[in-house]
Amino acid sequence: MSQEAENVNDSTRIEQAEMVAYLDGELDVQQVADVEKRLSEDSEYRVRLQQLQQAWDLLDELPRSKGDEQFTRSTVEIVVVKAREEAERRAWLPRLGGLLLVVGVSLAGYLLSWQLANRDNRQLIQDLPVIEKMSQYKQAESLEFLRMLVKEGVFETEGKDGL
Amino acid sequence: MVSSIVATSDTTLKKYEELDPDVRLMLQVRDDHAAAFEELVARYQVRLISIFQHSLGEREQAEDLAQEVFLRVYRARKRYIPSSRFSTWLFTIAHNVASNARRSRYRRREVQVTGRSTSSFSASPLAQMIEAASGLHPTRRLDRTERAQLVHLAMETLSDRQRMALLLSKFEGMSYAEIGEIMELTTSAIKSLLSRARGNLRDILQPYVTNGAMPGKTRNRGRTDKEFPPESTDSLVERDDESTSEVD
Repeated sequence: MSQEAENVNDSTRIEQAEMVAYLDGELDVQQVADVEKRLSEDSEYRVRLQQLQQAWDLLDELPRSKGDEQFTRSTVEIVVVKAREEAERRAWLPRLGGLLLVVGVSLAGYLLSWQLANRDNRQLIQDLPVIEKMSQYKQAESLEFLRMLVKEGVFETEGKDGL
Repeated sequence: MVSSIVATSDTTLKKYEELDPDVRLMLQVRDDHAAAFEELVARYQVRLISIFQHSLGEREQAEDLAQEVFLRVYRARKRYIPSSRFSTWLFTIAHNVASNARRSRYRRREVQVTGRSTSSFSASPLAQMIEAASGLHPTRRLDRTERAQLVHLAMETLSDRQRMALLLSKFEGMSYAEIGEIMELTTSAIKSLLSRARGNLRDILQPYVTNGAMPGKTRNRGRTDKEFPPESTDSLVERDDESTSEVD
């Protein structure tokens, strides 16, 4: 497109924007006076403005929605119910977090106490052979005496767990 | 400095509270007055549905989107600070909701289009309507329903932004400054956007206005071929790719 044609296009666009702004009541007093002066002098300009207005008026043909009380009420109900559900979901998050924390702490406590309790039991199980023969061991005078008896093979028939 | 900002925002708050009854209603909604919320819904629901319906084209979706707007309003009620007219705030939310809806619609459309051959696409609805009506009765005038359909299809040929600006201007009687606030564009950009939108509408609808014929069937008597574009409706539409450019 030549420079001249571009300039014509720009000037047409500016002129159209002024006409539309005039119809929309967006011009200041001086601009309104300028447009009205041109309207009184230039019939082609007047026709173009009328065409813009006529196309604008045709928009009145678009159907308009009609509301009723029932429709309004149902919208209010839907919105309030949705908002309440969202608020409840949001309120549940910290509660759920707290609940998970309590469950976690309880589980950790249970595992710890189970570990501790089992440690004592394991020791008891390990010491069980000695405990079972504790009454016999008590009859020996000393540890040295018992070791001597072991050496002489007194406990060999009773298995290795005997001592 | 801080005190002056606080004083200014207090003044603004008072100004809008005094001038705009809907701001007063919204402040009551903030204080959990159910009746005030119902009143706002009653005042704006139909207006929102109209904007959504003419912007996106489907009544059912328009109703859902209007509910979505009120849900957002209700959710935000505790944080509401009146810094503009209530309608400006509400339609800003509506504009965002409409933009989101359009984005998800385009995404859905992209998925549907994938795998289709281009030959399966038909002409635009406006072109179809032109062919159908003119083929049957070339010279008859359109009835009211057809006129509404024609205008609706002409609206569809506009870009999303042109359409939204046009609807806010026509149906809500908003100023360029208010539309600019809602669409996050300068007043000059809105002036340019609306000028192009109305120019496009005029180009498409003028044949009907002139002699009651469907667009594209007759040429405007007052214009030369050079001035009047070819009969394809697509080529009649001036897009607003450069819509943020300013015309002064």
